Amino acid sequence: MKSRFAQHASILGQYARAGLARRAEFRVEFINQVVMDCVFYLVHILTFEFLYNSVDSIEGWSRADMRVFLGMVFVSDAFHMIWLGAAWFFSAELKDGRLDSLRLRPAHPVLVYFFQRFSPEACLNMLIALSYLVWAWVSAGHALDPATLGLFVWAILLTWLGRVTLAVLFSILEFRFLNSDLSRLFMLLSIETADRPIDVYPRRLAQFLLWLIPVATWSYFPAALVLGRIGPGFAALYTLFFLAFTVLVMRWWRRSFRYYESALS
Amino acid sequence: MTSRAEHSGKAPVGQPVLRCQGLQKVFQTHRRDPGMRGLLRSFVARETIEVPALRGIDLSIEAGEFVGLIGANGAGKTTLVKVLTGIVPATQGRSELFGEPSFELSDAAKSRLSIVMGQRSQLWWDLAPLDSFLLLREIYRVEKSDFDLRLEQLARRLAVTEQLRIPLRHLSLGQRMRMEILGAFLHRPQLVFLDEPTIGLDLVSREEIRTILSEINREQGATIVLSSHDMEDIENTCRRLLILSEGRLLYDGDLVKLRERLFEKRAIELHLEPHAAEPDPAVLAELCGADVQLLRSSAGALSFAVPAARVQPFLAQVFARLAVRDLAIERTPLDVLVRELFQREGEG
Amino acid sequence: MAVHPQVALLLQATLYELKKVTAWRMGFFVREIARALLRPLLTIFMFQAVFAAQGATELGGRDLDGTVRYLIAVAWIEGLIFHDRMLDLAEQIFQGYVTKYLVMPMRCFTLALARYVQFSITQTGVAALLGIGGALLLPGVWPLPVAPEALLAALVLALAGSYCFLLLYFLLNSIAFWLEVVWTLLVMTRFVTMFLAGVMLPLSWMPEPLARALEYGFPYWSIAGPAEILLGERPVSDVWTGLAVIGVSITVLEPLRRVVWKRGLARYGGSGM
Ligand SMILES: Nc1ncnc2c1ncn2[C@@H]1O[C@H](COP(=O)(O)OP(=O)(O)O)[C@@H](O)[C@H]1O
Ligand SMILES: [Mg+2]
Repeated sequence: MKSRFAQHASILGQYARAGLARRAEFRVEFINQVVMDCVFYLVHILTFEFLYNSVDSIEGWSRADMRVFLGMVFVSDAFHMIWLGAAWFFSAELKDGRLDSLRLRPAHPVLVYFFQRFSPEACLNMLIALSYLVWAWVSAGHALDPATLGLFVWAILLTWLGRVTLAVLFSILEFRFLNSDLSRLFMLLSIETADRPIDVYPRRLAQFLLWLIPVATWSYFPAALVLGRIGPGFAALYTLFFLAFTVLVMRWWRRSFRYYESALS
Repeated sequence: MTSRAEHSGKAPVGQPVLRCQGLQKVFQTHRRDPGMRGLLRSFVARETIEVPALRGIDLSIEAGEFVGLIGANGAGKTTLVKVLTGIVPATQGRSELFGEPSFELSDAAKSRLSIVMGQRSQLWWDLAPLDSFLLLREIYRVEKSDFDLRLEQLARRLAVTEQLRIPLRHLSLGQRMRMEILGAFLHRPQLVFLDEPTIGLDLVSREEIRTILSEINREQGATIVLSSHDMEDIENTCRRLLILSEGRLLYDGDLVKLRERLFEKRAIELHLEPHAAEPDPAVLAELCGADVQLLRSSAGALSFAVPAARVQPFLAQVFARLAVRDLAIERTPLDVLVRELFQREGEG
Repeated sequence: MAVHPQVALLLQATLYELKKVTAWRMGFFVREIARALLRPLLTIFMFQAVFAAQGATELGGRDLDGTVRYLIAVAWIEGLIFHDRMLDLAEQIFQGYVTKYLVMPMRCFTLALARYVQFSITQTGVAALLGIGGALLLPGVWPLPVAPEALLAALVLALAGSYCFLLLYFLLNSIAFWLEVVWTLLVMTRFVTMFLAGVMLPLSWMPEPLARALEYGFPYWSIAGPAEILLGERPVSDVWTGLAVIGVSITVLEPLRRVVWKRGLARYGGSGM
């Protein structure tokens, strides 16, 4: 029999396959979503490029730094688009009692639920996002040596984990406040918050985004890590902190799932 | 290698796979008065009301049994299934599956369990059933060879081989339900709950599904709990019958014995000629006699409960006395059965 | 007095929508108030950082206080703009529920319109509360209308512009007849229109030609335009320009919406029924 890890990897594989199968049927949608996401990137890029027409640096972030930061924002966003589309539906499905079968599956419910809507078109977005990130990095005159690549892998894995952990964390609110759609609200606020380096926020808010609701993992931390704005010691410490945070969130979610009411639709 | 034993689908016959005691479930919902005032009030403080769905259920089901769970709409069938499988916790009482508390099932226990909800699909709506089954294969860690074999067998038996690669939303209701059943049996579960799987299906489909379930139960020894609000689904399939009414088990035992105890009844519905005179009360009284009951009477339509053995003489009598335009005979209707059971309980 | 049946229906539907909104208290507060309060705050922090970094007193034609006031005004008005989340039409189309409108003596758009009316009523209420609260709690910061006419003009423009958004979102939702998921389209449209409306970045920070061009669009006249009138940066009489732009947008969007809906319904297979 497969190990638990292999089981979950295979489930992800099936989700990816199903996502592709879905797209085989709806082809127009593919282009449509990619284009629309590029518009999303463009609006972000324009906002900052226009801002930097009037200023040279914002809280120590130069135009070149900010481009790397935006690259991280896009990479993080694309990950969400690829894997975490189900998070948007959680509130409604919980309210309608559509999670019955989830309670009976012999696999981790977080993985079975949150990763079920794989989006192949977002992979193209990921490619575009990564290209922009690389362009931002290289055009600023930075080197692209193995050590840097290692840093990038670390940074990007962390933004991805950050996305998963926070999506799961926010969905816990739905158990407490049924149909409040709080998870969507927090997700939208977080997306908006992560659009700018936390340095621009007041100190308390920045601390909050670093330690309590670690939106910083989405874009600020990874960008600061590759740009060398934070030391390796702190980076390692923070990564460990966030791993522990993730474990706690997963536990908490499973506990909350016990209060699932299975409403009639 | 434990997989062979685990996937054989057989638990030792004669041991309880399911046990519950004093099971109660109370749902909490909110009520709001109609109109603008109720609206404003609900905004400030909502009134919580409690809906007791299960009021103390004791039950034990052994491996290999085929149990029919029957009850009117709202009797608590779905709730019972949800509590027994641990989808929701019981408010009071204990429930165990495979010796584990229902609400704390381990993954190993979950792998031996399966559930089909008639009103809720577990398969992807926009994809071919096969895609959903492949996912189930990974979730339940079914070996590929075993899966292929099983899929082929089940699909053939359920007569849906042709439809495996067609998106679920393009299938008919009956085909969809067959797919749900297929998905539920793929991992050779030892205990399967089917909650009103025949709802909305035509007579032929229902009959076929019942037959298939019986076969699977017989051949693989899987324990099956089949719920329905229609006696007919249970009558020729299940050996053991549970009757649920308003959250209580009204009857738990052999279906054949129940029949003997209650005599077998038929509900006979008569439609009279539209222009005929109202039936004489004296005639009706004569028709009823000792063992025939008048269930309902309205303009032009009468409904009787008649012992099976008395149907022929009764009909002869009816045709002699009344101007009958049309008639329908229904076998052991649930409401008659429940009424009888209540009467017996009241007497006993 | 006989009321036109469609109007009566609209009233009924609006009341129903209002009931639905209040049925889930938490959601109501959260969605309508928390978002309206928290979102602009982040943008303000951003601009504070920008002004601090530059040590400048004036950027983009406004000083820091002016910029903050503008951003608050914009967020305040944005709360009145019909939101794409208010329509679940695409979902209904895909699930096959829409066929019922084929047999009912009503138009689906009436229901959407009821949502718009409900939304406008609740949001105007929320905005009024916010305005009073803001003016009392943050006297120096809150964007006070320069004149009652300015407030009225801004409200009229915002609600009229909001109607354009209703038409636009209805139109995009109707695309669900052809495409599977429309939500990305909706989210992105919202995003882009908010950019074009000067919510993310005041138009004065954009390159001159772009800013000029945007002043011919209804997004600008739904949000940034009213904000500028409210703050006295534009004369109240500009309301007519705004209404003209919005009027033209409606005359384009309305027939388009009808055609797309009709076509969609016609090609609808009713799958899933
Ligand atoms: N999630 C729930 N919240 C509130 N009441 C419920 C819920 N689920 C079921 N009920 C109530 O419990 C009773 C039993 O329902 P159910 O188990 O669905 O009956 P059945 O399946 O036999 O038709 C009904 O009165 C129903 O209204
Ligand atoms: Mg039921």
